[in-house]
Amino acid sequence: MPDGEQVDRGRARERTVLAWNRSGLALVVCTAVLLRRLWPLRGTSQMVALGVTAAVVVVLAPVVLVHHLRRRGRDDRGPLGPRAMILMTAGTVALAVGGITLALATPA
Amino acid sequence: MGTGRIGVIRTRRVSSVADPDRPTDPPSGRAPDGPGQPSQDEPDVRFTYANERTFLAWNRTSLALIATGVAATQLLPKFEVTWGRRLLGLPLIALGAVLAVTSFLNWRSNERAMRRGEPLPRSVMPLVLCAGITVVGLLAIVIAAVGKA
Repeated sequence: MPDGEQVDRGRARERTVLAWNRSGLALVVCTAVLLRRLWPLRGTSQMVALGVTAAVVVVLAPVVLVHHLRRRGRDDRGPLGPRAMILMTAGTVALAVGGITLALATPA
Repeated sequence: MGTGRIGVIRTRRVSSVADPDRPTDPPSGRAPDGPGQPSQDEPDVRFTYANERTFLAWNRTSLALIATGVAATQLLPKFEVTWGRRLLGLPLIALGAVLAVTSFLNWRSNERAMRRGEPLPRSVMPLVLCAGITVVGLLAIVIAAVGKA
């Protein structure tokens, strides 16, 4: 029977996994909105925005999946290092760049 | 408690959560107390998880701002004011990007402070978010008022 600290530690991990899931979902929704507005492509800037968005999906989807699998069950290795945070931040900034490109490509 | 010092509760990493592949000694030339760098006396893992969740919450806020900015530039009807939609959407997207970077820097400085047992640094992110949203709100009022005049 685990003591109180062990139970709480497990829940902290569970909350963190759920937070990663929510962030993954938010990323998917944001990417879907961008892709929906990008299609059909009109001009170079929209192709650039599509490329940035696609790169975000290709890079971040495996990252979130790997970290989710890494924390599943008893194969827990503790908190993540800075690499996952850097990738998440880079993906968010890339989405912002895609959004700005799309906004500038759309008639005012 | 008012100082935000939480490093006073420190535990050694227990075997159930330790990474057996991680080296015990820090790599040469790098600070042993930096984020992601293992040290002999690491902060309580629950604080590290909480710091990670805070980072993720700010990141989701960034994503929400970006999505709102994209929606403003793409879905709103055209205003009387030229560039009206861009005036509303672009600051929101830029604010989202700034918040994303700031949240990472904040996570890193919190992690470092916890490992050193120092008080957590103050965050400017709530102020930046409030100021940004207020400015965009005022812009929206001005654009709507000018469009009606």
